[in-house]
Amino acid sequence: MKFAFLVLSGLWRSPTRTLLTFLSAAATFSLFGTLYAINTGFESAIDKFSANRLRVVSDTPAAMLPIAFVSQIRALPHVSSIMTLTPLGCYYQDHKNLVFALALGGDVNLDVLGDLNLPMDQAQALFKRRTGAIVGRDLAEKHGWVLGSRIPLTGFAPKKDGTTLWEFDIVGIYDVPNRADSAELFLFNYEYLEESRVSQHGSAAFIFVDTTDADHNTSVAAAIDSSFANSVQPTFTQSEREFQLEVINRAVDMQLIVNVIVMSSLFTLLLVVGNTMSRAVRERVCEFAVLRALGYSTARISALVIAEVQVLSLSAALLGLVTANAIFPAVAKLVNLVEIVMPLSVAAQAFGIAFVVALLSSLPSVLQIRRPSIVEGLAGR
Amino acid sequence: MNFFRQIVAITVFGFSSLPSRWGSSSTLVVGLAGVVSVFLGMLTLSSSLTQTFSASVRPDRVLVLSKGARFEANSLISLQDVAHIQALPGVRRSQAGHPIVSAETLVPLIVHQKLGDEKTSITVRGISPIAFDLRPEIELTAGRKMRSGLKELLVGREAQSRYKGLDIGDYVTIRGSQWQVVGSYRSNGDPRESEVLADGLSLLAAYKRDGVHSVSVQLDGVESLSVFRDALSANPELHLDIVSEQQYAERQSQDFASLLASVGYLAGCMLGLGASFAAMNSMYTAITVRQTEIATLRVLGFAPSAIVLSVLLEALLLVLLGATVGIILVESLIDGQIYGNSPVLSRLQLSTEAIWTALGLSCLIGLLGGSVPAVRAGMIPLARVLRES
Repeated sequence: MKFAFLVLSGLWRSPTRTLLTFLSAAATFSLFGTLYAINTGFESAIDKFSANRLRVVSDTPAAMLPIAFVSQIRALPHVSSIMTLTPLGCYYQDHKNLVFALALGGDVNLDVLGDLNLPMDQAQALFKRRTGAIVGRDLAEKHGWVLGSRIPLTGFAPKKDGTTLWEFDIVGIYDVPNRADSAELFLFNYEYLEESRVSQHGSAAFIFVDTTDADHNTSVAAAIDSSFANSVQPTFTQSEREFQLEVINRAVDMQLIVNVIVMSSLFTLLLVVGNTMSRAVRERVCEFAVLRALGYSTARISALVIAEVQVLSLSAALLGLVTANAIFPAVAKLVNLVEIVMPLSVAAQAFGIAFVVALLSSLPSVLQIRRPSIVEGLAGR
Repeated sequence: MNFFRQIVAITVFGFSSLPSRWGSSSTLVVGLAGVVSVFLGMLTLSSSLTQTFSASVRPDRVLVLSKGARFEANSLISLQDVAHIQALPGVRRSQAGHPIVSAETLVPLIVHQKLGDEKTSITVRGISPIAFDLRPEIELTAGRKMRSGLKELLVGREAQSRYKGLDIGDYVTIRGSQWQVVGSYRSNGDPRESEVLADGLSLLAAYKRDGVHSVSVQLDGVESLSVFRDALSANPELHLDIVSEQQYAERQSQDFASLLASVGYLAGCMLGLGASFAAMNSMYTAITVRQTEIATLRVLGFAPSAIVLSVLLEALLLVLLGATVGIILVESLIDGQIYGNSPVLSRLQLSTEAIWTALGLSCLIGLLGGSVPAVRAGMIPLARVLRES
């Protein structure tokens, strides 16, 4: 109790200095919180894709894969399910309302597209109806579509009947909960695409292969690529997570940048806090001498100083995190992040770092305490 | 003594006592150096990447993509459509009468970095022979151009300097056959310097393809764009989009350039706020240490406002010193370096604009951090301070 009182009165000794140091530390921690939340957000954006999923595309951009590949891949060991996706560019009513419809084929596994929140009966309805379509809530609301709507889309690809008019029936609407990205996909039956299109028959743009276990990813990927190496269309297979990571790191290595910023700001913070504390200790030489004369050991006094810095640093981390949490949804939208909730792990890291920063920055002050003898201290020398 | 000379005198006097409070002032300088280097570094990254993409943009050239495709890699144009495009009005013709149109095919090539051996995919771009008329910015730096119909490659200088096995005379395996590197080029520092050029028809043959990814068109002039656009949309068989080079450059760079700039400004603001508090702290320390001196000056007849301004001036000078250290740090560490994950490498270049922005931010920090302590310094209770000392 007396210890806590001494800690608080030590901090209160120069309220302006304590407050300013506290605020400057809080600003650093709010930056730390925001940046690490961004980083973690990018990582978890990858984690939402199953580890055992492979993405097979042609080794040339925009070239299609023969659908016959599906049965060949299915014959390979350690393959559990296969799904195909083929885009069909369309617009709704006006050229400006672009809709990228995706034709689903194979063993359909809707979580390929991230965790869509879709009632199961709606998902099944898609395959009972040739012209069925599942759309995202945002897309549906934008155009006023509801369950059961029959909607005409104008495709960029002509149909066999000589028109470019593709008609769909909305059989499902999905949501994307707790995310900043909007639910804007348009999914329909591959069968419908196949029987209606004029060109590129029997081909798909992407083949997604689920392996029985992520450990088999490398061998299955190699087996797929080598079986088609000498075919009409060689393939390029990589794991979905690998692909997503490449997309994120396409031009900039965010992780590296965030780490550099955080390191340099923490280094500065260390200097600021360390400097404030050593100044505070220097001013209190006399006080400490009194405490020592009263029987306080230097270890006890050191503990007092360290505790002061810890209180300052940890409470600044708390304020910083609260601020970061408040602004994170806005920042997440700014950097196109999917997750908009700040992960808890970031808070744990921040407090850990606050603890270390406090320890390191109180080190020089603690060494100062030991130097003057009680007599020297009391004399104010 | 006039007002201005008073300020100078007090500031000089203040600086002479700097060594006695070196700790807190150096914190301010180091803190500012940190803020400025982070902020400037991010702005430099963002602007250099944008600059790379728009380095060779010209208003009288356009890119044709298939309808709805945002990028070349998602686009597919049949050779038949290429012939249609070549015949459209508004397209410039060479002296020999050939339309200056390049049908381009992109294929990936896996290469290894010279540093660290990491595997990366770069782009091999198949071009029409006339592409060198279309893109006069492509200049050979060594060797010769590739010949039509042969399996030969021309390597961009950034790609050559960064990846293994792309020197003149080296053989590269593409689709099971050997392609020889016969030359290297530069191109205004644009993204093509990170690519490899090949003869378009040879590449199409190797990949057994009957369509290209994009078509680049040299127009007769900027004003021919509408003629060209009208003619293209008048043909109902052509499902194609026209994108200006400027638009395409923005499309390629906007995502990450804005990401970098956002993070840069975010870090700049938050660290700036933190630095303002730290600056305030060290200026408070400064006036506490100097309070006897300041009170004495007041008694000697120095105006309170002169004292206020001189403290503010000291804060600004320290802040600018820190900013200069930060700028020098950024200049020596990243200016001129090559940055980039695949596929585009970018030469980082510190812009004057970014330096001014960083200096502006520093002055703001100096003012925020210096003003309150400065006003406090002007209001020092003379009698009490002088009695206590």
